[in-house]
Amino acid sequence: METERLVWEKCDRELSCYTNIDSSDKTHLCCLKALASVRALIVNSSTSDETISRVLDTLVRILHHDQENIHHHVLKLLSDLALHRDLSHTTIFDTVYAYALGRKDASPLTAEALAVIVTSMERSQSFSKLSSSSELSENLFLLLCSSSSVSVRSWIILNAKRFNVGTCLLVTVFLGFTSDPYPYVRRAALDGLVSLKELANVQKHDLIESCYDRAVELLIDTNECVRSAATRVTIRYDCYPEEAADLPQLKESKVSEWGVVLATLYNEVGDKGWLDAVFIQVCAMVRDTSVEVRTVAFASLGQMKLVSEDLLLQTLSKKITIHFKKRKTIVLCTSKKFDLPASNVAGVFVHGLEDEFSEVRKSTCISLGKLTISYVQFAEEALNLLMDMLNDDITEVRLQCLQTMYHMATLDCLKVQQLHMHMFLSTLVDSNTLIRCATRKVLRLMKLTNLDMFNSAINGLLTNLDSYVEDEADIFNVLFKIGRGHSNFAVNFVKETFDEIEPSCEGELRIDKARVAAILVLAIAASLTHEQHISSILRRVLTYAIPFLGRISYSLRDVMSQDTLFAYLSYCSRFLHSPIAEIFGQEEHCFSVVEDASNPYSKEIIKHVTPLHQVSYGTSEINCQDNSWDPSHTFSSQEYQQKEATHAIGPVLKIVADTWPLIKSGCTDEVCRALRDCKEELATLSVDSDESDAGLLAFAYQYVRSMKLLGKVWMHFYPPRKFIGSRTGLLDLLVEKLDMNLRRMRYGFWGFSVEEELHILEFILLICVLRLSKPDICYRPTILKRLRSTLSCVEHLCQKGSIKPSDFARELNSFCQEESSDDDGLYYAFSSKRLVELFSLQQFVLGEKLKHIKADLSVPDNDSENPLPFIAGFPAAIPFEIWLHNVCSEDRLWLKLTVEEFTQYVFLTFDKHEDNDCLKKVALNVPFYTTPKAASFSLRACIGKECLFDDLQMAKGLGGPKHELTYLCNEKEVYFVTRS
Amino acid sequence: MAGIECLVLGAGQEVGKSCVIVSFGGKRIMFDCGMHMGYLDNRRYPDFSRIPDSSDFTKSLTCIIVTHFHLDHIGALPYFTEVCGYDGPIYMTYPTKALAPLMLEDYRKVMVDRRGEEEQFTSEHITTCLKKVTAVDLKQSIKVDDDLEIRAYYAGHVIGAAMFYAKVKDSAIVYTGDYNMTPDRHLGAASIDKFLHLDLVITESTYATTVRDSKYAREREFLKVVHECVAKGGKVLIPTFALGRAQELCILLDDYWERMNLKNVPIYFSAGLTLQANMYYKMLIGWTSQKIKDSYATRNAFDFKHVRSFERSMLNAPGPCVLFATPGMISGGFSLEVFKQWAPSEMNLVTLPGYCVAGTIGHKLMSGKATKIKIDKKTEVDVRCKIHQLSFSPHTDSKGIMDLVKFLSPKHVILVHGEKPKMATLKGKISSELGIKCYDPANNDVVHIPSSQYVKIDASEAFVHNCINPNPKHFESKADNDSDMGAKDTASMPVKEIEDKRVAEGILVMDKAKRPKAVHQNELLAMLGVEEHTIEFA
Repeated sequence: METERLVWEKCDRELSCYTNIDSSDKTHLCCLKALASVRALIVNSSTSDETISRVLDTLVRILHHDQENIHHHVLKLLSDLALHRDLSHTTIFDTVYAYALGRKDASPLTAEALAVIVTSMERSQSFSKLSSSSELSENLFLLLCSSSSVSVRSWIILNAKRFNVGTCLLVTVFLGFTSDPYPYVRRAALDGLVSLKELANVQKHDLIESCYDRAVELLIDTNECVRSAATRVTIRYDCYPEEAADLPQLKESKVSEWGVVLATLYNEVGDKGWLDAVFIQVCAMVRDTSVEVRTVAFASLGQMKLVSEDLLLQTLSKKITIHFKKRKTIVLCTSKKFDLPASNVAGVFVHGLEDEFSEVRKSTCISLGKLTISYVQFAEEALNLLMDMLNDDITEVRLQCLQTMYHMATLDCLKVQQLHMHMFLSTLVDSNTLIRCATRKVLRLMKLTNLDMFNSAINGLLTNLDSYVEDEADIFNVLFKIGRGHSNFAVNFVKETFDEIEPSCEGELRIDKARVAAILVLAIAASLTHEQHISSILRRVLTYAIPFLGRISYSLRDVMSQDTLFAYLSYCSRFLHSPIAEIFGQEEHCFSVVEDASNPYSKEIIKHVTPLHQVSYGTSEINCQDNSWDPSHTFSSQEYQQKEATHAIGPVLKIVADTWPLIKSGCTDEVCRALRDCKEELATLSVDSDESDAGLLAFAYQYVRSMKLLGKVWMHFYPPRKFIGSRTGLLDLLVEKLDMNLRRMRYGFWGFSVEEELHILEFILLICVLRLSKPDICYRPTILKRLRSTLSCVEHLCQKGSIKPSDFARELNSFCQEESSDDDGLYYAFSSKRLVELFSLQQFVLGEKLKHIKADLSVPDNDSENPLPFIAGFPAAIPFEIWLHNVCSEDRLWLKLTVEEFTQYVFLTFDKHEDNDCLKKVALNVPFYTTPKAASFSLRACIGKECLFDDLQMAKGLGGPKHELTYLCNEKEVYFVTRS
Repeated sequence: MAGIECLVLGAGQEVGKSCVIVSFGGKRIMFDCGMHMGYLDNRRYPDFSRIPDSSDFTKSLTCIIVTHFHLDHIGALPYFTEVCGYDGPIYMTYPTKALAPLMLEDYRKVMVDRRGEEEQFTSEHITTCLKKVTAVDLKQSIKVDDDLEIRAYYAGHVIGAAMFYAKVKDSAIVYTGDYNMTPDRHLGAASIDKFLHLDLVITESTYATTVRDSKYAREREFLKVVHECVAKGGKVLIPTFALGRAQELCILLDDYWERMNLKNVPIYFSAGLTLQANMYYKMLIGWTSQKIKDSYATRNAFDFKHVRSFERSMLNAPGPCVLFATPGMISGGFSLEVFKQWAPSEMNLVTLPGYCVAGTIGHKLMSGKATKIKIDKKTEVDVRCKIHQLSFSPHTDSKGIMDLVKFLSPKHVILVHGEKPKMATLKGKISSELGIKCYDPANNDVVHIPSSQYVKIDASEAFVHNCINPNPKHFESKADNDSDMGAKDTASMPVKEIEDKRVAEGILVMDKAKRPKAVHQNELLAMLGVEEHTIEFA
């Protein structure tokens, strides 16, 4: 305390001496020293507030004197004060603000003063002050812009957004500064342009174009930082034509078919040309000498989806293909201004992967991964290159490469071939744990198309197990996953390695061998998939797995518990009870293989089997009692399966519910994967389920689909992680799809309990809320209307079932009531964010009564070979046969007939008491009125159910449905040919 | 003397004895001084007598620049300096200077001691010759004399290889030597500055028409065959040249061994030149690829972990191994000795370099599935081992050449160091696709090229100030042209616009002393001593 006071007094003396009495060189030096001590006081956190306030006073006082040579230091100290101390923001702000206004010139000091203001504002978080102050607006901004000091210019550009300056002016200023003689100013201006795009939705074509042109010019700047910034800008503006082109279209076609939208989008040659031209432009940068530029260039290439595939394919080969040579001319004529030889793109990615610098190689790997998602052929060829990268000498690059593959695998575009396997599997013995782990991660998801590949993959894993024992748990887990996915191959493999597992003639199990355990894991996985047809060998093998139970169950802990596994294994071993002849009858070929291989133990096997039988036969009665694998069902497999189907949906729905936090945190990859697994699970269940479960399964399937879409939609709302999958598609499409799905869930089934219906309604509400926050995907009045009507449904249901509405619904209700009248996007964005926070997804519990409303539509004896006759211009009759499942009398059903753009709706009436409720069969002769003037045509027919609770009115009016339809069947194509 | 005169003494429409004499701006530079390995008569050296004023080379030539240590680029240097008597400055990079004596001495030994030919130069010649050499670093500008400035740029190819930039007054040229645009395991890719404003680029064109695909495929193939061979217990013989390829392959294998944990399979280097060369590589880390430079602090990549030196007694020791042995084409020496022992076993593998001279065993193996090879009159080897041909090459491919030329965008290109028909194709491509004049002279041809000349002008202070500072013109316009992009508040207020044409505006004047000068428009009147008149229209 004492020292502090002494220091301060000395400083104060010297400072006042300098400012008031004598400002000679000698005292100047003392003054600087004093200021240095003052800084020490400020930075030191133990300095008392009292001293600090005195320091502040003195500094403010000095600033009022006109000794400009120390103002620089004083301003610096003030900014330190603002940074380190909490108390003095207002004083500092006011003083410096006055100071800056007083100066009104373009000197560095003014800029510094402004910088202090900005710092103090950032600390006190009062941004509004500056942007609202009119003095600090355009005039000062422009004044500073024309400053001769480079640092002032670059500062003002970097902080331009803090001033109250119109976007129009900013763009012009930035454009001007892109030709500044100083590279850092140029770069700052380019960066400014990039950020502007985000600020305002600039809709001026020529402006964007001039920005782009400028950036292209700067691509050949002498300074590398400018070049890399220019590369970024180029890519930034390429987004524009694409967005501009599809946005209005999508708005028009909200209701129309999604496929059509995409097709028109792709067919627009002009747009495509633009995009390609930008792509080629960026490709020219990848041979730059600067590492930074190259890295940025490759990263940018990854951003450019929707580029022509042939262009992309050419990037993978240095040799220009003949096909591509022809194409060259087309590109040249669409890109109007700049000379763009299409040969630029040749082998771009090859160069990137061969680059000397690992940053560039990494960046290339990432970009390749992003681009592979949209193009099948490109993905296949890119994989060839990626596989070679596994041989890279830098671990990071190898790891990135594996991550890219993993990403490709999650999105189903990893098509590994036999010739890749050697290279790929060699990473399994890599000395680096991370690499091995990443490889196994990929292996889990990899589709092994033939037996050779499967065998080599398994052998690779077994080698891995041999060399690195510590990987055991993970390897077992991978083996299990692979085995489940490729059960036939797995069975085959187990049979081939049967000798290794089989006890030797002394009757000893080789239980110490990890290798045996690994094969047993494979056998378990295979048997789980083939439950009904487990071969006897497999059963025998499974018996041997029991001693390994601890090891195996540990590694499969994410799949099943030890008890379950044990129960299953013992359940399987009981199958050995059945008469021995049956086993051998079924599996004769298998044993003959063993005999062919002149296995001396084949007789031994038979011996082994027989006593085992007798023993377990005797004890089976007792065993069955306390077996969790319900013994009464084990033999009547059909019954068992049924039960299974109904029960299995529960866990699937649980998994779906568990994905909600993941969706919220933006882990879309994981979500997609988990949900895909769910889908597969449901698909396997549906194979052998009967009619009664079909409704449940269909519903669960729709539900999973909706969640998956939700995951993808979510990414557009909340900042995602770095590596975004690009197959998320356009938000517009996604949301609409999601809506359709939800409609199908709500109207395509009946027999919901109140809870179930509430669940769906809340889901619908969530989507409405999400839509509200983005003006480009909602027409607000419609959505608000939908929101209100859905809310009233919720309220009604809550009353009916006397359930308390969820927080989310309650808040939403009050939001709707107080909802402000003015059309403020921010308000909606903000409140929807708050509301979404409240939403929480519960696990969906399905009752057993659910019925799937669906229809089958057919036209007997009609296909493209046997078309119906018609006379152009006259109505044509179509003999439909319609089966309706679970349709009730209140449902309003429509038959929709579409020929190209023309649609005709036919209302379906049927006698209510004709058949039993579940299945109705209707035969109808429907006239189609406007047959086109053509020799032949095809018509698409579909049955839809009107969504009565949706108040979205269709604008059509021509006797069609008043509400949106949810479709009950797949479209059926009907063929016509003129009667000759 | 106006323009650039380029005399191609060697490597014109052929590969071998690279030597180009470039005269411009009163200076005469010899780029490379190589020998042709295919000839034994006087054709092996460039025809030095064609150099103007050939009586006194020291006076005639300003300097000699050698790009790298391969014999077809440096082989004739001792002969030229010691026998022909050139005594002027010689420039090469540090690694070239360090490794050149090794190469030259080795060559001399082979020529004289083994083949018993007439000695062209002695060991002392090599020593004294290299004493005259000035070593240079990359990107170091060297003033050879007042006018001539040279600079070396990284070229890849082999360690120490460089491209050379030379500038006299306003004209500048680049001589590339041999270079590689794709990096390999131990060397980086060629790199050069972009804005050199070149009049001429003299580039190699070894692969004038080949486009090579990814190097990774080649590496993968190589590693796969080697790994498969040793996994089955076989022995791998890699006959290789001591410098360059050996290190490249060894780094590749060493790294693979490390990753795949193949500790139990030894890699051997046959003693001799290779070990000595490795020592040099360890010292010349600064000239290797980025990765090796980066990891140098922790481990020198040329301290191969799995490599041991080989002893003859191990030749028939059981178990798998990999052996590097010289010479590369199995033309004799140790690699032949090993080959005789290992070739009869099916388990073993022999790799062959990309190119083998006719008459060597390597060439015989390459040309077909030879089962029996006669080594001399008495011995015949039964070849049952597997053969793998390597296709690594330290030269850039045609795309690389095009990329470099496009990158440098010179006014003229001369192709050397290639095969005639292929060079013609590349020449056509350069002129048609890049619009750059291109030549492919034969040996002893002279190419004349105009050189650029700049006129220097003075600039007044005001003009300079005007150029480097922003010069915006403010004006206000009505809000009519503002539509959707300004914020709401601009609707009523006049919109400020700013115009900032960053074009240097000035007036070029020539004073009495005929010195041109650029001045700012405001200065003009004062300078001319004229009063300003204004005309107003009523």
